[in-house]
Amino acid sequence: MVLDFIKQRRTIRKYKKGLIPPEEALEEILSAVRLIYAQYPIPFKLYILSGRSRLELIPLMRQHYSIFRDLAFIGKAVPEEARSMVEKVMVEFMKDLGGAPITLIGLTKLYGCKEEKCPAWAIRNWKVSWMIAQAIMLYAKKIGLDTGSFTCLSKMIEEKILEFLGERDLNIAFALNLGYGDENPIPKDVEWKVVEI
Amino acid sequence: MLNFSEKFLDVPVEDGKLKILEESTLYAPYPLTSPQPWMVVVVKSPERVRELVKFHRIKSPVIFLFFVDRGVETVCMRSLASGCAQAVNLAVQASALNLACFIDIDPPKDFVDKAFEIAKISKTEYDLSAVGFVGYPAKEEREVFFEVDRRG
Repeated sequence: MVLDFIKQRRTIRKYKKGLIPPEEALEEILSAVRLIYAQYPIPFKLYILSGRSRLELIPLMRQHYSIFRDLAFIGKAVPEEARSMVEKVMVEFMKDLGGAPITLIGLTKLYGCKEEKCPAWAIRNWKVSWMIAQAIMLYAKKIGLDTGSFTCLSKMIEEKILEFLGERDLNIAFALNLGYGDENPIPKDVEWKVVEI
Repeated sequence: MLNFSEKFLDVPVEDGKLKILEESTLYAPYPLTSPQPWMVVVVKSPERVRELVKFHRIKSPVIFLFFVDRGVETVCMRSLASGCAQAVNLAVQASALNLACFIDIDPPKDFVDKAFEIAKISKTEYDLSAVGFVGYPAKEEREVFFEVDRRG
């Protein structure tokens, strides 16, 4: 059963409008964050944005998307044949960030990661942040909620979002939507890349 | 749902449970633009395990090594995140099987060198993102607090 929700967890880009997760669901998710944080204390702060705060985030993310799209297309990160599909999906998503009722933003200290040699402490903060993100995504799935990361942030947009949040000393590690999914993503084909010795 | 432990019983993990743990690690998020950027090496032969744990304070009957593709710089950071997400899957699944897990995301250098050596994996192509120690636990619990800012 646990394996089922691990397998079923997918990035969701479209959420049921107006369906707000109950308070207990958020508590359950925060308990997952606490469990990881207990093992790996790092500078970390979690923003839970809903209602007006979340609406104010949308225009900032739209700017991010246009920069991301340009970089991804120029850098050929998105194959030529997939570009119109990616464009369509992302334009739709960016209208209201998929309509999710809640957005979670995880902050940590990452200064230096854009440098040539990323300091070990920054790598550690990055890794722990993503362990927290994965725990959030799994716990959410377990209680019938869906999530989707839209983390790929340019430096410029990151600064704007941090200003919006009133943060000066931390960086964005992840941004996740949380809500009830309104789409059925295609199952993922996975390759068995496990070796026993 | 998450059972972390730093101490494990000297009892082997059954093959059936091991297969489920292995499968759980395949379903972590990874960058959209690349194929699964990882290789999971499960060290389960007692001799290999002994060789490895000589270089670590944690001793467990099975050790999962999460290697990730070094790739280009930005993708590399995301691959490291994928490796850690795999380790979380492992920890969650282990707990559901009455096992426990200890995840090390920053293992000692000697351990890392040995891990690459016994896994026969190239350091120029892969990073060791995380290590998962798995077994039957002796458990401890702690209370923690962190800051949450809720708006809206």
